[in-house]
Amino acid sequence: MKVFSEIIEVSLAVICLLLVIPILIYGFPFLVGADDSYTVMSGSMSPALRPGDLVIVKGEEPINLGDMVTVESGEFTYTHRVVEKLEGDLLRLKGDANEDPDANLVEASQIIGKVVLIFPFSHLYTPYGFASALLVPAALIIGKQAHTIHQHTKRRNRMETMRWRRKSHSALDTGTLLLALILTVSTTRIIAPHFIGGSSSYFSDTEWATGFFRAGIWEVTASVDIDPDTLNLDSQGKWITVYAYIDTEYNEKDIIIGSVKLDDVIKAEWGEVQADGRLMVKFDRASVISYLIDKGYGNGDKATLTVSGEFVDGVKFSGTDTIVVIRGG
Amino acid sequence: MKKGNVTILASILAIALVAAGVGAGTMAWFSTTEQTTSTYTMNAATMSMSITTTPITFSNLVPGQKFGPIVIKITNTGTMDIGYLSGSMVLTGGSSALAGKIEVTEWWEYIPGVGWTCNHDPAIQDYSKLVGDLLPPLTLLEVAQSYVPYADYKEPQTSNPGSWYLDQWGNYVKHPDDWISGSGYDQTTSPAIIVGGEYQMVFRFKFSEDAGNDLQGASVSFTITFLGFQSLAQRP
Repeated sequence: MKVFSEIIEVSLAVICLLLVIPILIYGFPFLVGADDSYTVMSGSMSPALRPGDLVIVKGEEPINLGDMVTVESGEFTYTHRVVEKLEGDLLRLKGDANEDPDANLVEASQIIGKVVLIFPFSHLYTPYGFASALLVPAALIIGKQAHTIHQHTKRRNRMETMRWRRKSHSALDTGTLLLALILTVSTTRIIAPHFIGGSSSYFSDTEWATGFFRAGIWEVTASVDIDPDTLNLDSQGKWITVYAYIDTEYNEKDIIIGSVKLDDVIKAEWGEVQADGRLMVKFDRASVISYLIDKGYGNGDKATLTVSGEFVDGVKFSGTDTIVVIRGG
Repeated sequence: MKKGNVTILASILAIALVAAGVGAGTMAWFSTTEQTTSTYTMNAATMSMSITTTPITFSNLVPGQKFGPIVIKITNTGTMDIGYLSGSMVLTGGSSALAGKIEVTEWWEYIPGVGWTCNHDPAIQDYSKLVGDLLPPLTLLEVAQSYVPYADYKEPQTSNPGSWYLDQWGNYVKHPDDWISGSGYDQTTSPAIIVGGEYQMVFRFKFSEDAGNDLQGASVSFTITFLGFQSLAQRP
């Protein structure tokens, strides 16, 4: 019976040390040569770090890919994993539970240190951990104390009282003290996040869409030859002939003849695509001459005229040619 | 007082202390494990968004042509609220001159719980954005070069000058390359997209009538990026 209770006391002492040592290191990180300690506040590094875990952080350590580092960003601190090292001491971090790396790059000056120790206190937040670290010790203490009270108050005959008095009956024996310590530590850790800040390794996600706009072709340039090159305004004749050639994939055959105009004013009378691929259109000579006279062209003037039109798909073409105007003859 | 009575008293006191401790611990445990959106998130929450868009490729544009709409939907497919949503557009290639002739005729955002907000018209938008020179027309180029608007702040914040930027139009703005008006901005308490919620952004465009012939066949590509965060404090 005595051996049995000693085993229990030793086990309790071990559990107690397992709880107390991390808390001591958490409180005094220099005990293990580290610099800082944090409570993990969220699950973006899960499953490596879970909310409630304690991380011990050491500064001035070489940082490699895959290391977990604690960084300071503005007013908050978080712990994420290094996924990329970039030029200029910049690091790209990512939370294990996040789909994408963090949006912001981290500078060397923001790094508090590398995670060197993790104490998985998050187990306290599982129903099982909660029961074993809090409810069971509490039940044991209460049971033990109830038993003590019962022993003190129960009626005994003389012999039994003699035997009872010979033993010590303290309310606070070693086992109870150890249980109380376990209870205190675990309760403190469970309540702690409500009062302290910690390493709130953050969650984020990134999505993107790419767009592409391309302008079409709405006007192509034509090489235009107006025949005759020298036009006598006093001459007779039926037509002014215009040849147009378009040096693109656009086909002259798709030009709407009725849309072809000279200087956007005079409509073509008729036209056709010739065997050499050039468009030939005919303008009424009298109309062209009266147009040129109206514009004030005189003997020896050079007139630059624009020929334009449309293809069946709505794309426009245009081109210019210069002719010499003469009078009389 | 008899020694026995002291022991009984100590025992009762111990029971009371333990019960109080267990009570406090249990309350803390329940309140902590029930929180899902606070910074202290005990469950296995994840932040995850998905994006769907109508086609964002338009070809054979000719001057005067209206095109769109582009509808971009961001759905919160994770298990925690997205407290803050940030968005930005950058030109990734092609002709910025073409982007300068693509007019943004409509630019809307639908924020769950807030409703539709208008971004394209500084006169009617309920969230004053400083996009471009604020003179019509608003162009794709201006949107891609825009900054987040802090219309109320025409002076740099002296306490933390590094976090303020002067944009090319002479406005002091807080965060470059971001123009989501999400509730994350001034209402950090209300999430931008709750779990299962859907955010939308809608654009309509017009290829400017005065586009020159030199833009024929030109193209421009761009990327719109959305970042979801737990809270405004975590914004890059």
